[in-house]
Amino acid sequence: MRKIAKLSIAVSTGLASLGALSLAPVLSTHATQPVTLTWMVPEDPLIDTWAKAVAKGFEKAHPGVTVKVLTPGSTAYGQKLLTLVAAGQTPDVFTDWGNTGIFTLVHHNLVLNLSPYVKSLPDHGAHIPEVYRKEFSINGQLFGIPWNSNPTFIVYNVDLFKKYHVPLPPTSWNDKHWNLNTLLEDAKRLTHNTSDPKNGTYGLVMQSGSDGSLAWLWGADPFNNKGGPEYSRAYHGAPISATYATRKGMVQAMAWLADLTTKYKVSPSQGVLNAMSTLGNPFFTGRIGMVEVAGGWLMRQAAVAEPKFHWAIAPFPYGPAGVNTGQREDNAFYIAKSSKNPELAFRLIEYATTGEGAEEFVQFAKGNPPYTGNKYFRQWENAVFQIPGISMTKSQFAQVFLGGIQHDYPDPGNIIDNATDFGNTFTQLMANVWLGKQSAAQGLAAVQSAWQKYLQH
Amino acid sequence: MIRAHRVRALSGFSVLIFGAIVFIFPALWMISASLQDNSQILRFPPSLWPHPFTIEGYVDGFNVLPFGRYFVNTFVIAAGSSIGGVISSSLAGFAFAKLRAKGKDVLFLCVLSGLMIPYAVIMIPQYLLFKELNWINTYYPLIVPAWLGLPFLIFLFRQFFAGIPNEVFEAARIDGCGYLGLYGRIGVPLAMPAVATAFLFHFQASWNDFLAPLIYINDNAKYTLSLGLAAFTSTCDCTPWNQLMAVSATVSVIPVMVFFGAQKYILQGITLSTK
Amino acid sequence: MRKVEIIWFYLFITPWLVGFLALTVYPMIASAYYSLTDYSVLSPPRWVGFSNYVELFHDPLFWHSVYVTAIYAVCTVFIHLTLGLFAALLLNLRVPGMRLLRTVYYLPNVLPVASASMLWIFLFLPKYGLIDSILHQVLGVDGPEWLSDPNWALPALIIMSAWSIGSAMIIFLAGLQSIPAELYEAAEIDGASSFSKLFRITIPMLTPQILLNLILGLIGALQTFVQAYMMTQGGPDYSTYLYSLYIYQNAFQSFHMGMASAQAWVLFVVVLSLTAVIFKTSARWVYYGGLDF
Repeated sequence: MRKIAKLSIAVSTGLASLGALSLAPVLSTHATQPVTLTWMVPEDPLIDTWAKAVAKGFEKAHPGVTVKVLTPGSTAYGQKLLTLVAAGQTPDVFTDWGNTGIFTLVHHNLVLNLSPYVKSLPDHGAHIPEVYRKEFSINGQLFGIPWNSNPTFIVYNVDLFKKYHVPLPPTSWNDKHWNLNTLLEDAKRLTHNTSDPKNGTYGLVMQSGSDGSLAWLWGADPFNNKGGPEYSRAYHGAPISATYATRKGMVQAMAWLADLTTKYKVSPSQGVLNAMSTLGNPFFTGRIGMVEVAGGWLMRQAAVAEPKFHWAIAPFPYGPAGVNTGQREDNAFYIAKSSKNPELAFRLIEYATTGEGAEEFVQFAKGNPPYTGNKYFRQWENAVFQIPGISMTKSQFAQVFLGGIQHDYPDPGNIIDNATDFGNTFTQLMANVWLGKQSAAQGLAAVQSAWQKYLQH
Repeated sequence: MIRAHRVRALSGFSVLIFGAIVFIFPALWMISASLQDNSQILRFPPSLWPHPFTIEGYVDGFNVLPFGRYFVNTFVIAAGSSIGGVISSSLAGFAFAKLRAKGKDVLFLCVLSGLMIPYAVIMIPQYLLFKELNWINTYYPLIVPAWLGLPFLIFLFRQFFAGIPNEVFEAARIDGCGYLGLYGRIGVPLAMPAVATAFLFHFQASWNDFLAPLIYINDNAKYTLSLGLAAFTSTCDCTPWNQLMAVSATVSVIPVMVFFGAQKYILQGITLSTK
Repeated sequence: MRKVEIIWFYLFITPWLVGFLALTVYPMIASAYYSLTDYSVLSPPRWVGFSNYVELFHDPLFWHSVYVTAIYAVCTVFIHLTLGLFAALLLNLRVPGMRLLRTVYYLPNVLPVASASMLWIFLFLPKYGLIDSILHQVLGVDGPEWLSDPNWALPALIIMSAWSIGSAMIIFLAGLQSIPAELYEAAEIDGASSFSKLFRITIPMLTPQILLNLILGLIGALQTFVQAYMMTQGGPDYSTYLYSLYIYQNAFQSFHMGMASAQAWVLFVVVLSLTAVIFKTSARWVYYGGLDF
């Protein structure tokens, strides 16, 4: 009896492993002829359309090559990327998105050094502006080729400003009267009947500052205790060694931000903002006076929303420290170290960022190419001026937009190590602060101790 | 006495009706919102009746993601795993109910233990195992485990087969029927209600599964409906609730239809498994 | 002849046995091993002994997650047992149209959790959502921000779970229908009030179903994942950081497979001991009429 049991177990285990072995070769789908490049782009319908157009064009130009466009779907981009890496299915070309930035990619030894490839270009890569070259290099080696760049600025509803007799914001980044105090005063004057869910207007929505970078305007940053972001070595390819979430500037900045909703009530709470988003970007429904936004995305949303009122953009305001540094969300394409066709992958990146793909980027993704000197950027500018309601001149627009690229500092989420854990912790623990149930100091103290825990890990 | 009884029954019935309205309302709300345009959804106070009626939510929602394809994918996974689950589980259930062997009780306890082990406990090694087999981003991790027996279905089949009198099988034995014949020619035909119940049960569970597809499927083209729903992002940088509700309603159509069509079997199965 | 039967028995259960060994036993052992390593998938596992467990038990987030999950489990199981029983009692009345009503109560269990989660995000929208609208219109109060308020997010998930009491209800209903009518008739002759009939006959006779619902509800609650994943991502302020989500994030978001395996083992031990305790004490309160478990 026992023998039979043993036998049957042995047989079944044998069967199982046999089955597994016989299935394995069928299932590994790496047919190498002809060449297939996999390219993972962020989850976004417009980017998806663009990437598919690029893939088509690139396939036409390179017979025998198939470009397979992947998107991460319901999971965060970086998580999906690591899942693919773990499964041995790393895409040939991918980007940094949602807190998986250059540091993480280089740290995990996932990406190829692109310096030799760039040097072999006719212009030796001179077309890549200095700001991005610095951002996507570690120890002088270039790892990413920028394809997307979003400086921070303020978009405002001109009609609301006029209705409530508020003077319009400037277009110069050097106008120090355009500061947080002015912003708040204007916001108060633009806020009306917020208890009316249908017609009330809110003065201001500040978005990107909620990850701590608004403290830059107070000359502070969570990753150093000397000054603003320029002092944080963690932004230059060094691992995070210490955090300073509770320093004075951080507390002041976060308290200011929380007060917008809880004390002055010029901003909707996150929940109400979410609900307002049913109709579209809340700004373009005309219900918000000013919104702090990251660059080209806004223009994209504007193009979709076709606003029925006048609007314009203004620089990021000055803070108490006398600086107006916002954050710039930039993204680059990287090539996997494991790629079997790095040459071809590089050509795909070139095609997508500076070749015909760049034109399609303007056309389909409605985004601004980071190469501000080239013709595609001007095509994008022209496209922006097709959007209904824009009420500023082309040179004013360029002044604000290009000024942003120069003034801003890269989004920390894209350049620090382990940004997912740091960012998630911040979001989770600050929730009570935005609702006014905790002071900024309390929230940041919790953040600081959680961050310290990560450092010990 | 009789009047008091009536009053009680009546008040119980009114509580029931009220509860039923509360229970059905969210589902109606979903359907109603899916047939409105977004400006109606934000109307305050909201109303259940769409005015005007529009199928724009469905049209736009289906433009964003290929839900037709997801529908097929989900169907393939659900059908594939249910067929396998019924075959393997009915075999085991039959053996546990009608065949005699030493160690049977211990092994049946092992089956039951499978019901107690949370998926989270085994999901990581399973993932690593399937990764070694190169099964990531295929449907194998979602289908093959069912072909290797599902504890709940085995339990269900055992309960059902146990309810069939032994004489039926003994008579067939005397007529020279083999064990496979006992299962295939006598047991299964008699157990058709259980087969239907088991199939529907697992079909729904598989259709509604979220975590396993989330872990194993990377390629959007291979998504299931639930994953597609979670991945829904729109072109307008907004949350178009009419589209989201339209898609949610669509994802629910098959399970609800299966339930209405086969209510008898499903309720029967639940009754059986609690005995 | 007897031998043939044994061989056929094992042949019949072979698929299950293979699955059990490869997909349950092996993963359990492997998981125990991984829990003693530092394993990021990107590099091979490194033996670290019990340090994952030590770190886990010193991690406030771990205890917080256990706390959140415990609250969720206790509340949902309680709601399912009480409301489920109440609904079953009412649905057992002999009134026309009862089948339709039973269907209505069971229907929410049929919907995919992903759909249901999406629907409840919509219902819980602050100010504009159905629930806040009703609160405002009918009661004149301004409802909370539900999913974005740390104090209300977990109650919101618990409220949502009450929508699916149908599964418990149907099990109770099956139990109610198998209680012999003679018991009630005898009690009526003795002049028992309906209150005492409920507590002297119905509930004692239903104890097997209560036990079953208790165990199924508990295992279900401890495994709840999709709601937290889709509706709140465990937030705000980790207020809905259910244990399964915690394991998932550690395993597939941070790729701390070793740590996640340790968490999984802790969960397994907890589930095992809870069920063991429930079964042990059940001898004292469960009336064994029919349950063959």
